[in-house]
Amino acid sequence: MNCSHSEPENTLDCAECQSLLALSARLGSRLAPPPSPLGADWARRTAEAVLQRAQSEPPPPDLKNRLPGQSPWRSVHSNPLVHIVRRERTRRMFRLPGLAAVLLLYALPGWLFNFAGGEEQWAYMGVVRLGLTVVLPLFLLAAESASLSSLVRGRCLEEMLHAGMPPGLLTDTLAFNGLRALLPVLALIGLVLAPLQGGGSMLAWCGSAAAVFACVSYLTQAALLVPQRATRIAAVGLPLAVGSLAGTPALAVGCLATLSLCAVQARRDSQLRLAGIDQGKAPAARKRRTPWHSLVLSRLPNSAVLRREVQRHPELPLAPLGLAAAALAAAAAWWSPGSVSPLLVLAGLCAVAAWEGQSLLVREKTSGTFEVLAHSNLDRRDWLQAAGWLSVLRWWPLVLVTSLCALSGTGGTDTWLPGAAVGTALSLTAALWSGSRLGVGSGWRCASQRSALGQTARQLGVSAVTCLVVLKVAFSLRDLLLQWHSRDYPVVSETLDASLGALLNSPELLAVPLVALFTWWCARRAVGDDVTSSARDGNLWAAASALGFPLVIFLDLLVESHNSQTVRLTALPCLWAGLAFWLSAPLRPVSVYAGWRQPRSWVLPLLLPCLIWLACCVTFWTTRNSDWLASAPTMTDGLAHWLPACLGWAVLLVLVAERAGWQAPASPVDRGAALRRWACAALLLAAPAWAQLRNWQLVESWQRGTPDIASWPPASRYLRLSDGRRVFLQDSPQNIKFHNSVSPFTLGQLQYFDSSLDSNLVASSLSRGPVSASLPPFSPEAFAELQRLRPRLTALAYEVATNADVAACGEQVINLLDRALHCFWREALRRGDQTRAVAAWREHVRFDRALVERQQVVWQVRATVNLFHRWQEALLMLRQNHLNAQDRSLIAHELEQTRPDLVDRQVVEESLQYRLPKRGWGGQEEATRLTRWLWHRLALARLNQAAALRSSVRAGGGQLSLGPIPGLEPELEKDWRAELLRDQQSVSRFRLLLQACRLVLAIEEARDRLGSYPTSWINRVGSYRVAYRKTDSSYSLRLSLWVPELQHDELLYLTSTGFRMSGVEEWNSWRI
Amino acid sequence: MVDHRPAELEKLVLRLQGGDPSALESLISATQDMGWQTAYGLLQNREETEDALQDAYLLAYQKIGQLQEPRAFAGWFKRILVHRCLRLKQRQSPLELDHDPAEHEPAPEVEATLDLRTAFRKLADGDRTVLGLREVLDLSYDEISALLEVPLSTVKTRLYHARQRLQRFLQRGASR
Repeated sequence: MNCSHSEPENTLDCAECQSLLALSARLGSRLAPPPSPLGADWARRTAEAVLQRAQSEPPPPDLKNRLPGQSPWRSVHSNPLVHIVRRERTRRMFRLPGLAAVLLLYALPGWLFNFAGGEEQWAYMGVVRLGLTVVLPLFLLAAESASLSSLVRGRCLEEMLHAGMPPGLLTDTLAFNGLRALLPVLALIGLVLAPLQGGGSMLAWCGSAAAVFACVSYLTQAALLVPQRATRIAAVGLPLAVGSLAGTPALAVGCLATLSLCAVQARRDSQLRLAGIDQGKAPAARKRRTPWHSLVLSRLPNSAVLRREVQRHPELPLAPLGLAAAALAAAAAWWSPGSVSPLLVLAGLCAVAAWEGQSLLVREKTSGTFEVLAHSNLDRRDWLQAAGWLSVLRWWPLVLVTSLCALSGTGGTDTWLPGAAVGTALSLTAALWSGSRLGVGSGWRCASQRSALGQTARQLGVSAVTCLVVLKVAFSLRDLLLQWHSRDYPVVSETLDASLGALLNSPELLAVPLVALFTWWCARRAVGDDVTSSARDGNLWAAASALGFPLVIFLDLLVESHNSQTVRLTALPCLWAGLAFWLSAPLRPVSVYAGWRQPRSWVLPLLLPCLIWLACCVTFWTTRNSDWLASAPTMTDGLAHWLPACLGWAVLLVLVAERAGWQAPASPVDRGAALRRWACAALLLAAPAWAQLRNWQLVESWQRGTPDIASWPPASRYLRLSDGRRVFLQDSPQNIKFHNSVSPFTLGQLQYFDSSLDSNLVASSLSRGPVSASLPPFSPEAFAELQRLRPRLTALAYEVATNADVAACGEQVINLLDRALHCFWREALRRGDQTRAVAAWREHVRFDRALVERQQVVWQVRATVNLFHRWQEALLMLRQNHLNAQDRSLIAHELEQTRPDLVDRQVVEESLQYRLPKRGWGGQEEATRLTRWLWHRLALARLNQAAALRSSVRAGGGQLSLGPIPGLEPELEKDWRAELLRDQQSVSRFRLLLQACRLVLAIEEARDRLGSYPTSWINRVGSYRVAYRKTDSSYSLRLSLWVPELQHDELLYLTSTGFRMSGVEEWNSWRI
Repeated sequence: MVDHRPAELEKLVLRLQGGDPSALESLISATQDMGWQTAYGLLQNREETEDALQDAYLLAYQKIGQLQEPRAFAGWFKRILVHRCLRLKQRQSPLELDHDPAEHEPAPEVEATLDLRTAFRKLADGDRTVLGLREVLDLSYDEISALLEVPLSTVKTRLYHARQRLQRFLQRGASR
């Protein structure tokens, strides 16, 4: 007696169960009650006995005294059907401990991960909101529907009808008692979310959700009783119900109204049907249990394996609770910067799908049914299809919830939300599909679970390695390309050498050739010795997969290196179309040449990526509702590169795998097929990985938490003047473009300003620690000073230049400075969200300064905040790191005190409230550091302004502004001038001179500005000492400041890369 | 025995609810055959069946005012009767089950019937109830679930175990 079948549907094939059923049938026939021997006399005697006992015996106390109700509500509330459905519902629904466990499941991550604010909390709350208001109610609705279905299958409704219950009362009883059971759950959800969403909104949600439940209950009854009508009604009503749960209030009201109309119609149809059953006109036959997923099955491919698996596991597409938990973890990891990488989620999904796929095959082999299935014309294509669809069906809630999270904006405000949602869904689906293919491929030849698992693990590992290898090769290629491109400018050769040296010194670069060789070896193994002589399409496809991805990145970066919107907007579709054109070569079942000779064979691979790309562009512009010219760079920088890639590659991969794959007969050792499989998987994994890495690359290096700035190579870091960020020169494509557009000489000019800022920083820190002076940020006035400086710089260049070469150098200064200004503007466009305001500000600054002054200062400050994104982002980071309202008020107060004529308190508060995505950054310590940094930047920007103003004044008049340096002895000035003029052909010398002059001027200006502070260090500077030294490759200039109170010399020496502190050192120097 | 239609049954119930006890005899006469089939299928004993019927009619008479739908009297009474049968079984001692009911029962026709009846009688109350409801009275799983107020899966499990125990008893009887 080891049979465990308890379902009658499962006993048909079991001999033991058959014997039991036969025995039961005998029992029914042998123990059937005989005809009633009770006659009329028994009835009379019994009636007398009953009447007699009724007078003497009270009713049993265990029966409840339920008075009959007359009101409609009481009829609905307490009729016999209520007690039947209550038991069924209690069995299926959540009980209170289960519901508490669900809520605990959602609350647990909040406690474990200590979400204290910022993007993590935002993402977490988004997931919680979706789970509690959508996933859990949908689960309850499914349980209620299953309960109703059970009643219908058990002919309980018919019995109630025959017992005399009106059809209207029956339908209302089912609907309202179901609603009454669900109301506590809804109230509990509302209670949980009320502190987060607000009491009013959650009350409205509870009411709308209750209405939706009632309507869906009527629709479910109609679907069970009148499926022909109900399918049409539900097709309209159910999406609206979901929309009312998650949409805007206006949408919810409209959806509820439509859904109510559908419910009224469904109630009427159900009552008519029940009335027909009651009158015997339409007797309902007892139907065999129809799986609810028959609708899904009818849409699935005609695969016997797939249908069998879905029927074998009818709960397959269900179990939303567990999957919601998985989605919660995945989505929280997906949008929690600094935690689990999305790559891990994708890899995990791929591994799970591979495990399921290979288990599907190995299970058949171990049970001995695989051979039988193999003889029934089930080939690998069917298994692949079944495994892919099964993985998708099993994990679709995860894909759905994660995509909804992306659509709800948990990915950040700078992300294009529809694109992020589509990209997320595609990435997850592609990972599932590729994983299932890997699993089936590994399970095809393995007879045991252990060996199949080993092969799957090996293939996954090889895929991951290949992905990383290809990425590394591509990025190295990009670096080399850009460095080669920059060598046209000799002035930055030092920088490039330093950066290349750092790159060469990094151990990663040593691994690049190795992994590149490995990739090439894999490709060779896949292709064979001769690509052209290979007639196997699969080999060609493997070659395309292995070699195509670096080529794509190369072409993409080639387009990126030319910073032109026209090039981008026109070249990208061509690029992707060409890629698709190339990749679709293996689509042909015959040779490539013959394949392309087929009529219209170019249509799909050529047009599909173009159409997808155009759809993305149109959708982007529509959703952004902005000027496409202003938005196009943002889009082309980020999303538009990889979204068409994912779309096009996913479509192409499906086509290729279905048409080109698995055509060769299976051989015991088919390395080509294995390589094809992991090449496909690597390609699918690489697309989202590449996108993610690109996104990660956009994060500035200092934001990644690199604390030790001094450890960076000096020439590879650069303190950008526009926003004060320290960035690597080869940090990101955007920065590289920035430096490509800015000439090396302009770079030197900018470094001059930054050096002066650094010097003041050192000075301030020497004297009295962090500067607490209330100084404004880098303002439009300072920016305008750069423009105002241009003619004077021209005059200065001509003053210095005595020959044509230096004159050309002076011209170059002016031109490149102009380009730098343009670059500032472009960078502001790229970084700022209010691009129109920035553009307007720039136009005002350029053409009508007076208009700018007449304008209210509100938009000036806003434009400043947008242009100099650093300030805004610093405030954002402060806010994200537990900056409370008091701190914000203090900052606003400081700004107000600084420039009451410029700073609007409201605008400052706005900028403090402005939200930007946070990427890989956080922590209280960082907040403290940034707070200090913020005050430093405020002070230094003020000093920078002073220096620029002073230098502009003293450099005016077409005279070389060496004379006004205070304290400079005439003979020394003469020597210095002569020395400078002797080496005037040296651009670096000229730059050195300029830096020295302006440094002195900046210090003097600082003395003037800080004169009101009697304890200021700079007021106690006894003397300056400027020294220079000519080395083999460059000049060095040193400025020594002597402070008597410090009893020693603090020497600041200036190089082309910045200031450094050193001890006293004797150089040939002048005493100022 | 008069074949009462539901409409006539409804009138009798309405008369009882209206306070006319004379309708009780007609009501019993109209439903006693149905009640006999149900109770005997569960109890397999004439005396117990009559006792259960009398208790059920007494309870129905006392609670007839709570019946909201007079047309639903048949189902309502059947449920009361089943519960009365179950309570009657719970009150009985195990020894009472072993007495020979031959004089009150229809004579067994063949030996196999006797064995089957003996084995069925040896079953526990729960097994006998669920097996009787299913096989003898031919109720559906959902009806049994609603009648016994247990989950559907419990009904299936009990039914499965009851069948197995019945088969075991039969095999033991055959081995002797």
